[in-house]
Amino acid sequence: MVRHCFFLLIYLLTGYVIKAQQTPEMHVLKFECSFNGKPILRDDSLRNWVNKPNFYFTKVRQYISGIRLLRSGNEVWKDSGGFYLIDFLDSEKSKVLLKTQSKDFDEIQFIAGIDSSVQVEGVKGGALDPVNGMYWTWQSGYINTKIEGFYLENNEKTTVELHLGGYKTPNSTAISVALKNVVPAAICHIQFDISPLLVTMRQLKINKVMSPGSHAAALSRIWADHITAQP
Amino acid sequence: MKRIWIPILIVALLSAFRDDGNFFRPWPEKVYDFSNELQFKERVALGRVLFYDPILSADSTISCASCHLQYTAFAHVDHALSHGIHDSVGTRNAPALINLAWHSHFMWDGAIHHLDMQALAPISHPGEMGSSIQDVIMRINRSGKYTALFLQAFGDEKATGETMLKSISRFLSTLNSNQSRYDSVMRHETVFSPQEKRGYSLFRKHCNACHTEPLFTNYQFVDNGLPIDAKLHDYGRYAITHNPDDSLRFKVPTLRNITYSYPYMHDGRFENLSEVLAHYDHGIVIRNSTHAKLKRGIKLTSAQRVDLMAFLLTLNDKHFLFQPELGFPMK
Repeated sequence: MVRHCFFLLIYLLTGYVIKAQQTPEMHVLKFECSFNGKPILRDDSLRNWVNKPNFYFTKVRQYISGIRLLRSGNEVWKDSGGFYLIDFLDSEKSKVLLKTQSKDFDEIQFIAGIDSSVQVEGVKGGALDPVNGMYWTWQSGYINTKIEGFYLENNEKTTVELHLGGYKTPNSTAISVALKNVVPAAICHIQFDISPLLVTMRQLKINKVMSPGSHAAALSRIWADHITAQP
Repeated sequence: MKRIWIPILIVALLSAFRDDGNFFRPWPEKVYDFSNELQFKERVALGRVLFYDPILSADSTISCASCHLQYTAFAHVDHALSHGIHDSVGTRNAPALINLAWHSHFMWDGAIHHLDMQALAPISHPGEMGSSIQDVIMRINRSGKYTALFLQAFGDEKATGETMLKSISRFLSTLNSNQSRYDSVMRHETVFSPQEKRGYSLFRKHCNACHTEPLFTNYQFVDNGLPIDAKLHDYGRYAITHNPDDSLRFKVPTLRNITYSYPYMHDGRFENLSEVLAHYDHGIVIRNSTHAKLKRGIKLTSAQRVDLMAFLLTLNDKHFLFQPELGFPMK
């Protein structure tokens, strides 16, 4: 009887260990957008912009795809073809839940945008459904980054519209991002610093970019170059 | 063993070349072939209802068929420029919708690169349907009319942007014209008249480089020497690519059903084919981008013009114009 109980115990323990090994790790990538270290919110005024106009955001959206986790340069997990539309102004729509098989990684890679191969395929559903307002209507292609808002200067309102898209070289706006020295955590904060982008626009006196081209590509590069993983 | 193939090849060539000198030109592979999809027929049926339904426009007055009428080869003969809601006028001529499954780019400037996405442009254009895909989906889902159709076509009674656009593109892929007199001649079911044959020779010599058989377009973007319209300032493909080399290039339209789909050119400036031939005879503006074959014009005698016209008439396909499956869905 004791022997039977012993074997039953061993059996149950073994099953528990195997199950524990198979249980996926849950990681949340929390995408955040900040200006000079301060998170931006809908209709939030940024008062420390260049020459101190007040800037208000009405829309800050970004496509994310091709998420990979790596350890010492080796891939330990890869998202199976997921496309995510991040709405930085909506805390519920700025998270991506990853069900991985590994909790040990030190690098996160993703594409800030939609890969060109997907851009030339037909209509898609889910996050890629054109009803999400991220597909151009006057031409074909996804808008990878959409930033809209306005600023007030001398009581004058100026609208800012950045629709950054385009998938053809040399003006592709889908940028590969690699964040190294990441500390694995249940919630990994991925922070986009919008300050350099706004400052550049201000310096170049650009308020609208609505089509693919060199401006869109250059601004996308600046936007993607200021992404960091925060503990 | 190899010698066996020689007489077979000769017989095959002889059967292809008949005494009328015509060579059967096989159709290229389609760019879009959705026919293997499950529920393809149901999707086409749904797309057809949507094509004829003004629910796609902001004030429910304009449908796709308002500017693309079947009896004019899915073109619009009433106006040079397309019309939209509130009597708005566009900047381009509504092109004929023929054999779209063989095309990789759409619109006069090739702005749209997939058939699925074509309907987005007129739906959203303020001078056409003046709506948005979000509003269209809301109206469709509220109407109740489409519940069963979407369920049959996609297994879900609720429309989405994806399913709505897919159904329209499936219908568009069925707008195929291949029953013209020209097609009958190429299938060796009949022969050209002597006049048509002379016109065909002229066509092969002067037109076929761009209006390439059997679809009568080479799908390319070409500057055919039209003077720039002082009001429209339309530079064609340049607006999409921003490449100076693309300035004033427009997509080569098919010549199938040409006499039904007037007026001609991207801005509908020519009312009839005589005006078109006159342009190619003496109206071409020579500039760097003008197509090389057009720089000396296409000089034809009066008799040759009549012969060429006779051939162009063989591209008409009345079966396409009255094919019941493509018409207004009565039920």
